[in-house]
Amino acid sequence: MYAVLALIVRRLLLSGVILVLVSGTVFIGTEILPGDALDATIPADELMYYSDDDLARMRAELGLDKSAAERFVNVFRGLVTFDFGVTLMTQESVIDSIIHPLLNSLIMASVAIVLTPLVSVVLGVWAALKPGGRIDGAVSGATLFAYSMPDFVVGNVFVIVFAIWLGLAPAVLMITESAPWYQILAVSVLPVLALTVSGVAYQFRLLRAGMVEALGSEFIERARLSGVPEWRLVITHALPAALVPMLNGTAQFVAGIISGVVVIEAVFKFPGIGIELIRSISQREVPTVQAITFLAAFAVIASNLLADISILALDPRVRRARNDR
Amino acid sequence: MSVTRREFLTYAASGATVLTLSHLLDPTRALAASPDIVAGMIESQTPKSGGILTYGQTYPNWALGQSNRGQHPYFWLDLLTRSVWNGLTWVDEDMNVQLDLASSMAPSDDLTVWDIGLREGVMFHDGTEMTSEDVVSSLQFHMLGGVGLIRTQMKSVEPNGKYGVRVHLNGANAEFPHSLAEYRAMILKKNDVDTIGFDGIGTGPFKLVEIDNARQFRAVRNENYWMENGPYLDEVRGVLTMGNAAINGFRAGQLNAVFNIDPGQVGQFEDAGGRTHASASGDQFWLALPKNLDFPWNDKLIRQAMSLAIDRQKINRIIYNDPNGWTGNDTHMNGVNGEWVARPIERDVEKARALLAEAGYGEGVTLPAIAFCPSFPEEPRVYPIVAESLAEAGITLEFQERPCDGFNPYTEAVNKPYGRPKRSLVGPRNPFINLSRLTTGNPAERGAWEGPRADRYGSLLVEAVSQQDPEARQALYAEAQRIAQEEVPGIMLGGRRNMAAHAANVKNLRSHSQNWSSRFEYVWIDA
Repeated sequence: MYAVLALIVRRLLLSGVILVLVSGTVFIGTEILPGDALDATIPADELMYYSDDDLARMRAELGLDKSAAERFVNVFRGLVTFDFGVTLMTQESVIDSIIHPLLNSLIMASVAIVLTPLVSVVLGVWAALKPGGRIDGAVSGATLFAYSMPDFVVGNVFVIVFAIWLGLAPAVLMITESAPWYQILAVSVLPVLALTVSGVAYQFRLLRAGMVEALGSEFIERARLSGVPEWRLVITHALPAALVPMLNGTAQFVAGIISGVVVIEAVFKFPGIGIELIRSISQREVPTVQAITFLAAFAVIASNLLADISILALDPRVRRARNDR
Repeated sequence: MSVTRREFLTYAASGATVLTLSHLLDPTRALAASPDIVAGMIESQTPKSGGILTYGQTYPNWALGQSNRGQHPYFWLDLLTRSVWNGLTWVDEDMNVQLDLASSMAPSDDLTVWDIGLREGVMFHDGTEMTSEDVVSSLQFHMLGGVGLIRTQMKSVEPNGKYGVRVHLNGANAEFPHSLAEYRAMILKKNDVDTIGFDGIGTGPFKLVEIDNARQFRAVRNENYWMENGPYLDEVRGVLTMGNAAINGFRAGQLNAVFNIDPGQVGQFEDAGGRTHASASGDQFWLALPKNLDFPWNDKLIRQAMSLAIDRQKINRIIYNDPNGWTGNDTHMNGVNGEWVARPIERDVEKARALLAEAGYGEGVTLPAIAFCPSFPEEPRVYPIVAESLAEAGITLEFQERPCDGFNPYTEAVNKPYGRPKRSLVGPRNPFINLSRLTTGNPAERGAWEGPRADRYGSLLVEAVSQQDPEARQALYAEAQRIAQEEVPGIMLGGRRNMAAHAANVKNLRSHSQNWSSRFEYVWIDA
């Protein structure tokens, strides 16, 4: 038990280190490379439009007249304390400007994150009951096809089929950014489905492979010979073992869902953080880009930590390995 | 020439077909003029009340990214501010100025002072009456810079009784009523300059209920609207629908109208049961060419070659399916203007090559890139045609796409006050406003165009707008246009029409050449 706790503490510390590195990367990406933020926005053939006074003024406005170390300390302090400053254009608090889109995306992503492993488990178990059978073949083929489809294609196909042909969902999400959560949830059906398609496909394949392997293993065979019913073999013995690789896949899915959210929100015009990120990049709103990037990285680190802890809880072999060290 | 006020009224009335200001100058006629906006439209119809108009808009307000206060007309979702507010005047589909909240307008003999009578009994959405105090407060606010034309033209404004104001101008201006019809020049409830307009309260046909600055708004019928007829709709909802969202929303039945549809999607809207309407003209693309830096186009010959090489008719043919449409004449004048003067030669690639050679670029020339943002859906398809046709004459010109949010700050950030080479959006207006965009008050679009011909151009406009006689004014405008065509301070592509689509049961919804002058009072839905 001590070893497991030590592992969790180590992971927390490691997450802190990663967060520092992420802050540094965000800083470098948005303010330093290549040269500085000003150079990044001014290609060489455009420099003819700028006088020295222009450049000096713009550098001062962007705070680029301070040293890189000084600027990093400022940016880092702001990021880790969740004080993201104010927007360049409207001078409003960054967190105020992104809080509603952030919550909306969290609602959509949370549903997708919960739904994806559930659907994957159902399909994976179903297919693994008779490997090579018709159901397995159909589901495996469909998921392989779905996995190969880019998110924006899935989104557009869903709009055409479910909104335009069948009229089951709105084609244009007519909802305000600050709408209550239940309204956001109500319009999230298609975006969530589109978001889960690739995740389900990937996690299904991991789970199915794990299930097939587990169901063919010696311990399952022994249990089967001792008269344990087949459904119990599948649910209580094979599934937990097969879940471990799938959970790693779920953690990856959470990391990937952030880029998926950007694409899906753009397709559906969902009032979320992805749209906000695109807008702030196009407006060169560096503080907003920094805030969203940092929060996204934070979410990935947190989800990986959660996945590690879940694996520890589910898989006695991992716990034993830790304790044996 | 000395002309009395009475003579001026006579001249103005006789020139109604040219400038159609006569009814504004005659209060007895003016009182009847505005209700005709609706009455004329619903004539021989039996409008029904009720229903919700949900329109998609592909062209958001260019200032959207500059504020999160969408209930202010300056930062309204799109430029169609007349859903919630009214101006003192309005420009109709024939580009004639009409009275809106003004009941009369009369200038002094020297055209530097305008007395404006106000409609009585007009109520704001909060139930208070609009008086001269509100109008003075609004115009003073617009003079701070929000409405460039008002800032430039007006010296001061003062109340003239409870239902009248007097406006003092910086110079004579026979076409001043047009400036009051701008999309930002709405009449707001009196307040101090820091807060005026942020309450979202207007006198318009619909009352604002909800707005998400960058996405959509919802407004309900103003039961106390001042017009005799309309509004007929229970509710108007507007939503920004970029990309395929417009056609998808229309096909799905979520939208029963779309403003500024992609001309390439007309067939798709019609296949989906929609009716499409193209206005006589629309917003245009002006290529602003700064001439203060060491650019090849500083030489007039290069600019003339550019203008001769661009295949504007091909743009009309391919993009707008309008082979007989007008083409730009290298001023801000619009084909819908009666005073418009065509360029003498539409296109001549050989002559363009000869001009290049004369300028010392016999082997061709590479020009600095021009930035644009895709304000209208078809815009990214326009510039490849321009670039290809220029290339035929040996001119290499790249167009660089930039995001629309923040486009103006991007283009204006450097090389002040001229900015980067860019395409500038030009809405159709009256001749004086159109042509004034190439005078010193607008350095970006003029792009450091200087010299005796530029000076002559400016003085012609001043002289024209001081003229009582519309025909004399027209002659001066024509001369100014010919100067610009010879000098080519910038390039107007031209030919674009605004287009709207609507469901078959939506009546009277039309696209307006002046995009922002679309109105909703006479729109009704046949259930």
